[in-house]
Amino acid sequence: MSPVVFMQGNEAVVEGALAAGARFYAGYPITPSSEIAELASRRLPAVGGVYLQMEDEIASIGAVIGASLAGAKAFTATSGPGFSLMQENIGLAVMLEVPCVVVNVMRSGPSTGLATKPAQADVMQARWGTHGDHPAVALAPWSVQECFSLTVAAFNAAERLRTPVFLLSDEIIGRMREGVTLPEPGSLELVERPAPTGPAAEYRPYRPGPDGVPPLAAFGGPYVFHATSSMHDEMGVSANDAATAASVISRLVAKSRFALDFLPGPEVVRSAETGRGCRPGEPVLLVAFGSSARSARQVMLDHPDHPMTLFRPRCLWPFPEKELSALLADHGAVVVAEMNTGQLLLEVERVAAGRVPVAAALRSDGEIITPEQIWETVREVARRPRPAAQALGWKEGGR
Amino acid sequence: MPGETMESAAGATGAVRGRHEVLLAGEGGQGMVLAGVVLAEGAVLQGLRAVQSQWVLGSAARGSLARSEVVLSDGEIAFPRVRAAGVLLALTQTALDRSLPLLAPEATVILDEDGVRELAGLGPDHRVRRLPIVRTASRLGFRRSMNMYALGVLVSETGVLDHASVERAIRKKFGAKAPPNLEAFRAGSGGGPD
Repeated sequence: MSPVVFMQGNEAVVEGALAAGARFYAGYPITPSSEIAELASRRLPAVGGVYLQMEDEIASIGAVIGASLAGAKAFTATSGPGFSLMQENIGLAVMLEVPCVVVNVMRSGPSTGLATKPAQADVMQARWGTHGDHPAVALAPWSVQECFSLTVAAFNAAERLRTPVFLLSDEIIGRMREGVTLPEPGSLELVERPAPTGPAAEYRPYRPGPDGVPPLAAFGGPYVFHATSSMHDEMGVSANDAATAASVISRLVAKSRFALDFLPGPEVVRSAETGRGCRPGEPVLLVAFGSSARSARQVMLDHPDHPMTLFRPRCLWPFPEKELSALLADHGAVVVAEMNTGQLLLEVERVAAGRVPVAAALRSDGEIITPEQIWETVREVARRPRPAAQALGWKEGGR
Repeated sequence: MPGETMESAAGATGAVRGRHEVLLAGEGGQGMVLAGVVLAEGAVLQGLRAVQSQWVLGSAARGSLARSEVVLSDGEIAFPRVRAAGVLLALTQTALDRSLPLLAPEATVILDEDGVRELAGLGPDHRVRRLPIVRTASRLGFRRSMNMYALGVLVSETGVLDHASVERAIRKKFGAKAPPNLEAFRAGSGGGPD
């Protein structure tokens, strides 16, 4: 077994990126993500990779897209203000179908906000930050271990889907240190982007492969192609007709659904008491991600006699709605805990659709959400009268 | 060093049962954040779980608060921050004052007697130790490794970790610069030449 190594979340992101095969980083340092740039600047050249410090975040994501088109697994790291600046080029990467990983170590906003303090308020920005209909893939680590493993998963998803993938870390997870077990080199399953085969003259750079993702040739090789941000046909040539637009948009958007087949699923942690003699509908379902999930899990450890289940999406986008939906019937209420004014809450309410009451423990003052605050909300929903099951259209105790 | 591995394996659980929270606080430049990192890494080397976070406002200028929060446990650590510290090491008045809300009622409070003058905020059940930490470290020639001297004081006053585990963490963290830091730690923990 590999020994336990003690490291910071941001460091583990760099280790994960290197283990996933990343060999290019371009970025502009910003608190609380700067350790990623710092470590990447030391580690990448040592493995034959490239580190570029750019003049700003717009140039950073541009360089990442260029490097990826040239065949490198590429990434950048930033925080809210930089993530905002990157949005236009993230749309470019979506449209050109360029794999890349963008790490956003979330901090309090809007704008420069509380520059050094934690928040989780970029959930919807990760989904809808760039304009137009588009797929979105965002992973959220809750530990230093997951800063490593979800970074690997992010690169794998980016390569497989040919689309930008976000790692939504936060100030607390990114800057804390804890023990991690790094896998043996060579033991990780790594995904490489689909590559063209056959004669170069027959290469159709945007003709979908069997899973809807076209093979990507590296710039500088025998397969020559045109990449444009405008709507384009299979040759990558601008095309404005409705049929082309309809098929491209639906194919791009479908990447989110495809991603659900292989992205890390949600973690479900049941307290010892749950399911042991308590009536269906009694336990409270806690929904939280990243650092908030650490606080939510602590509530369960603090109150072992109170039945609770933690539903922790590791993948926020696409949202694991099937898994959440399947848990609702067994729980009397849902409490969403997050460090924003209610973003994932909207998604949970959509999935719950009135079947189970949904309450929220929210914090957006730059301080960590505490187990005590979440516990207060749990107690509050436990005191509420139960809605009549029949009125909500589902059977008592039914699944 | 095989002997060392066996020693730490023998003390794998040591004094830590359940969740222990430790605060190390001073002003920017005193190295308390790093001292917390070393303490937490020592715990991991001892077979425990540990989480270290820091509270630093911007770039830690002199006079501002710099604080490590360390959570140690022989089990799962969920909430990564300190809520009721059983141990506080505070080198300045601000470090103490700003840490009071995070102290358990019966916390062991180790204070630098020159840096902290006002003790009114402490409770009746706090176990208070006032020691000339910064002055002594300086007198012994450990001005630049005062944080490791202070960490030695903390470890010997609380018994929270094996000395050997912390020494291993110091060697890992400082590499070629380990010797003066080890000396400072040993002096602080009473295990070296005074």
